Amino acid sequence: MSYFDLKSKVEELDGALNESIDFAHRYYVKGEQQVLLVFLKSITDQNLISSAVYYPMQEFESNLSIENLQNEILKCSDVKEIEEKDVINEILGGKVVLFTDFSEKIIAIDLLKFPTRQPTEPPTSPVIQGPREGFVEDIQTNITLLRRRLKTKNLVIKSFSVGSESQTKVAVSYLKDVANDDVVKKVINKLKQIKIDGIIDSYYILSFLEEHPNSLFKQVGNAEKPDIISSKLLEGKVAIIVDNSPIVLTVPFALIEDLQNSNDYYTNHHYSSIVRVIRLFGLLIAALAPGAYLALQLFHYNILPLNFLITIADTTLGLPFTPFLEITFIFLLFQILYEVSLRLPSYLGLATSVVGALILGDTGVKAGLISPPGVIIVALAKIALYTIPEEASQITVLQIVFIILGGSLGLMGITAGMVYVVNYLNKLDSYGTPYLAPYSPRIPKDLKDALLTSPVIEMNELPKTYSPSKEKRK
Amino acid sequence: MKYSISMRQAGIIALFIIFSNKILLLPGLMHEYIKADAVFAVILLFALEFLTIPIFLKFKRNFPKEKLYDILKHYLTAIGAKLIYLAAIVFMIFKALLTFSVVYVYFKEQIYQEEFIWIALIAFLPIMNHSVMSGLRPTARTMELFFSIILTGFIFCLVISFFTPISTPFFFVSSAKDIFFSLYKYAFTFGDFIFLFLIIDKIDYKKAQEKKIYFYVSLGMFLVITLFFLFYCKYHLTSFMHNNALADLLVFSVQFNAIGRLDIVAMLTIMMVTLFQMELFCFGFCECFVNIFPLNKLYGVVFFDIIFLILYYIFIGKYEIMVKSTVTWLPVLGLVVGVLFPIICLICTMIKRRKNEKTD
Amino acid sequence: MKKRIKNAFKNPMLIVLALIIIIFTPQAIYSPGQNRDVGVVVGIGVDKQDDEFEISLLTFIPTAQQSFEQMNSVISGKGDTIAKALYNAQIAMGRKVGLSHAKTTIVNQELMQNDVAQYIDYLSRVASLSENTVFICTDVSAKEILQASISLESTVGLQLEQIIGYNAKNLYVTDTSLEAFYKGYYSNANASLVGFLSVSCDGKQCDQSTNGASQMEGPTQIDTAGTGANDISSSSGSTGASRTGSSGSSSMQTNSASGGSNAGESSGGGEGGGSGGESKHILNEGKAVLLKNGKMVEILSVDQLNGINLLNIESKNQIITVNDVEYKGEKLKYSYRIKNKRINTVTKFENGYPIYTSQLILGLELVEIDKENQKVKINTEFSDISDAVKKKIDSNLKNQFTNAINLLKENKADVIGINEHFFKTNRKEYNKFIKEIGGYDDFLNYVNFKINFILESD
Repeated sequence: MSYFDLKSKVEELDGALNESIDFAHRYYVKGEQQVLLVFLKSITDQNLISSAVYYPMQEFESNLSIENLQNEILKCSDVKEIEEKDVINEILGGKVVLFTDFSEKIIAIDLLKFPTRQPTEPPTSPVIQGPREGFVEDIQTNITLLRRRLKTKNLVIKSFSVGSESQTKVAVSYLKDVANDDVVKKVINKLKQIKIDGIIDSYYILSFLEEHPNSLFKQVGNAEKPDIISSKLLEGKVAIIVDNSPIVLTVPFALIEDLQNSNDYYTNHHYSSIVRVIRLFGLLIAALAPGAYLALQLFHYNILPLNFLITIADTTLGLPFTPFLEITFIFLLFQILYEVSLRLPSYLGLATSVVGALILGDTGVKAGLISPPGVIIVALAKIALYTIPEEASQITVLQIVFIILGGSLGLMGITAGMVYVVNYLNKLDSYGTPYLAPYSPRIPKDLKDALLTSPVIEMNELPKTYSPSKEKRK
Repeated sequence: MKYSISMRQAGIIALFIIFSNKILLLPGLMHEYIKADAVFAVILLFALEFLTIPIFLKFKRNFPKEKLYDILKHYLTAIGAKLIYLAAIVFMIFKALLTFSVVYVYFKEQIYQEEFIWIALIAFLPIMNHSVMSGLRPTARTMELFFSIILTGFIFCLVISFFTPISTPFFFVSSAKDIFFSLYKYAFTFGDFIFLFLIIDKIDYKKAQEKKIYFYVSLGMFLVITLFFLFYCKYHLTSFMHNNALADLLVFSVQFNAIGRLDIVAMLTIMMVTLFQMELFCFGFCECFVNIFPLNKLYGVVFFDIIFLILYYIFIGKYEIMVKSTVTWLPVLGLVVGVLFPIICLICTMIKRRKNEKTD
Repeated sequence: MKKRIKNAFKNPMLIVLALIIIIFTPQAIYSPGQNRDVGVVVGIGVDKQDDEFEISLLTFIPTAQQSFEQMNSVISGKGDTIAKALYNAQIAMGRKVGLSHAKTTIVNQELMQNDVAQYIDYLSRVASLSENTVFICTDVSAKEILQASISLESTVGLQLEQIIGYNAKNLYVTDTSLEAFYKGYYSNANASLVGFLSVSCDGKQCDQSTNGASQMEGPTQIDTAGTGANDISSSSGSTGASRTGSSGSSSMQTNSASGGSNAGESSGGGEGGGSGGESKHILNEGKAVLLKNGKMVEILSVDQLNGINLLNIESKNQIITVNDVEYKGEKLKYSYRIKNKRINTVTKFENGYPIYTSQLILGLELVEIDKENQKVKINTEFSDISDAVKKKIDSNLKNQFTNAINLLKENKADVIGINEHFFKTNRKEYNKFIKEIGGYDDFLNYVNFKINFILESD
């Protein structure tokens, strides 16, 4: 008796896949037995179909049976039985689905193949000394990279499909007995509740993971390198790996993470302490300098030392703009230049920087449109922004806020703004982790890896900031 | 507890409220009355105030989770409790007014050089209101973060005064009677520890960490006494001419080339300290408000703003009236809050203990 | 859209920010910056003519050349009160007067005929003039000093407060700020010392005859009107013979605001700035004004100041000259510098009267020997101070000190803190004594000074 009408099955599947041009099917006939292979040409390995499926069936001397096929004939690692309702999804997932007329069972063979790139060093987080591998778009490779670093049975990787159309594979990874169970549950719940048509990149699920999605400040960490993610997993965080994205997300998140750089752990800890302090200063300069400069010009000339006052007075005398407009103008100029240089091909990038720096900056000053101190202050703030590139977008918004506060209310406005921002951040808990820990609240033990760092040998305890399930690293 | 604060944070709050009104105008004001002996007056007042801390900790130990209002209600009936809260609410609003007025005058003279009341109000009030609305925990954490910055600024102001010639002022020039009378006269600038009692249910008490509170209170008192002492060492007879003690310590300091005006350190320190103090007073006000009236803290915040603005135009419009009030009728309030209230709490604690012993 | 706005304003602080943007930011956009609204005053002078006050403001004027040099000009206003004069000066300036950068306050000695505190009170209390501004008295008009200071600054980069700062450090050995004045003013003795500067004129039009005379007497002259900022050269100048004066007054010579090129001539040619017409120089003779109750009672010379400062541990570098010292049959003139100073003071009341006993141990360094205007090379031979020389120095110093103390006693102006010293050490007796004599003023007159000099070669 024939279990499947293979011909009509092909038509049915072709229709279900909207007669897609990469849909392929192939019959194999052995005696009276008939086997149908259906797959998408674009995402399956054609050679493997021949060598691992077709050829072994041909070589097999006795009658075919589903058990034979599963256990002996098919030379693939991932061969499994599937249900009829999953057929389309399996085909879309790069599997070769096998129907027979001698069994009601359906077999899916994983022969997924698509072009991937090598795990090269990501441009966003280069290191001077240290591992240079970076995540790629393929989730399997990414998991492999993690597994290679954490060879423990405690490394849990759970997978979900998210997105009604994209069916993107999302994996949640954490270390059992280290990561906080509540956090893991919360993450899994949140992922399960996502209702969206498609996930194109990990940033799509970012806002689903954040506890305050409207907030300016990021509440989910991210990294592009397996060494960083491994160390975060060891600290008790939960990693969320999304297929087709080289960016892996981590929760919970504290601001101090952005001050820490993987480089810090690969150099002398005294040096990294200095660098971290400089980064913090960079952050403060970036956020506050333009606003403070404006406040000093508009409200507090009397605080300025006379020599500096002379410089400002001399340089701003003939300007057509008021200080507020001048700073806003320079700020806009820099922002435009930044946007342009980001998108222009690299061979044009040099030309833009020449135009930006020389023509606009220098000539602008010479023409008396903008003042040199104004240019220096804004440029300083804009450069300082990239001491912590992860926070650049947030700080840029803060720059604008502080320019308004400084220009409108003076130093008092800036101080009040600063206190408000800190107060707000203190309210902003990410998965139960205080945003500004270990400084506020102060967690003395975690200060070993905060602004000032200790050598790795002294970091024998897990950071309490992220409330891990155990205390000691072993 | 989700909304509780740690003992360290409570200690830091205590330190900030110790600073209130004492770091700008008070040294000059007291010098006018009892010369450099003001240092002794401050030490005596602090000694009295320091006694509040063991009372507070004992109180907390005996009533670990209860709210202050419920405790007072239990022992003094609802009317008694409300009366105490009423005194506290008046204390808080006038403290806020005094702090604001003193700092406003300082900023007007030193930084803005012209009237800037609307700027000051829009910078201060929303922050105070926001901190109340966001709860004690974020506010306390913010203070914890800024604490080290403020402490550094404060110590910098003190240390830099050593770079100029200073000499010990003449002590014991005022009579003992004057010194003791000054304790009453300036009582309003003290007695701030009532705030700790108001937030007693929000403190995550650990016996082992009691010393933290003692440490921060002692540190705050030590800093204020040192400020008084150094201020008089520096200005001697002309101290009464200087209304901004902490900032004026820097005025005659070495002027480092391009850095020039170092008093910006004092300005920023004072600005931050003031913001936090105002937050605490607003918080204290709302805490009392929600217990006296059956309304939530949003109403408390709105009422605080309205009363603050009304009183501002009655009092601060005439700055002298405000300063004068602090030495005329406000000291009575200071004594009620600073002395009478801790005694009531002590009595409550003792009654509870006795009851416990009986039941045992 | 409505929902979006509603969402955005969920946070009340965004409403505050929106309010700030609506109410305050437009003002910020239009505001040209305080440095254009405010005239930055770096020095302030107060004069009084008849019953009218004149306030002169040394104001920094920004230039668009971006030279980053301080270009100052003097703007003045008159009025029957200080406040009105300042108001008029403000009108003349066309900007708000900003006194926060003022480093010098110069007061004409006319004002010091009355209690000067009442005049400067307005400036320090209301106009927020900082108390650490240098306080200077002058016998010419304060305006002239300010005008002369412009060229001083543009030619040698020296500012008034630096000159007076040097004096304060080395001559008065006390601060000469407003604060220091007030400290003395409010002390028991109600006496204070204030720096003194004058102006000398080379030009014939100059009508300050007294200043001219003093300059002729002390011809050591540093012509600072060179071409470069650091070009401070010694020249014979217009006054002729140099280095013959004994006490030596010095004058900082600069030319007036407009005469930049003139200055070059005067230093190079040695024919004197007089040829340029109005050439005014700041004349710094190291003098100081003694004030009692805010009134000027005496102008003290360098010698008198040195006498007063003998009891001041901070005061060093003073030069002591001894004439007619016999050495191998020849008469030489020795100059010693006080290199070290130690003071042991004991105060007590004996028979109800205050006794001030002080032992001054001075470490002296021989710096110059003159033999009829010829220098003798100093060698180890001279390292010891002979008894004869010691005697001479001792009597010199004692004379100097007696004169100074007598001057202070005469004026009841205890600027050296004798009152405080007794108050500190013998408070009971002091208070009793003050009660007996009926006030602090006369206390100094009753003090018996016993000063003993121990001279050591250093």
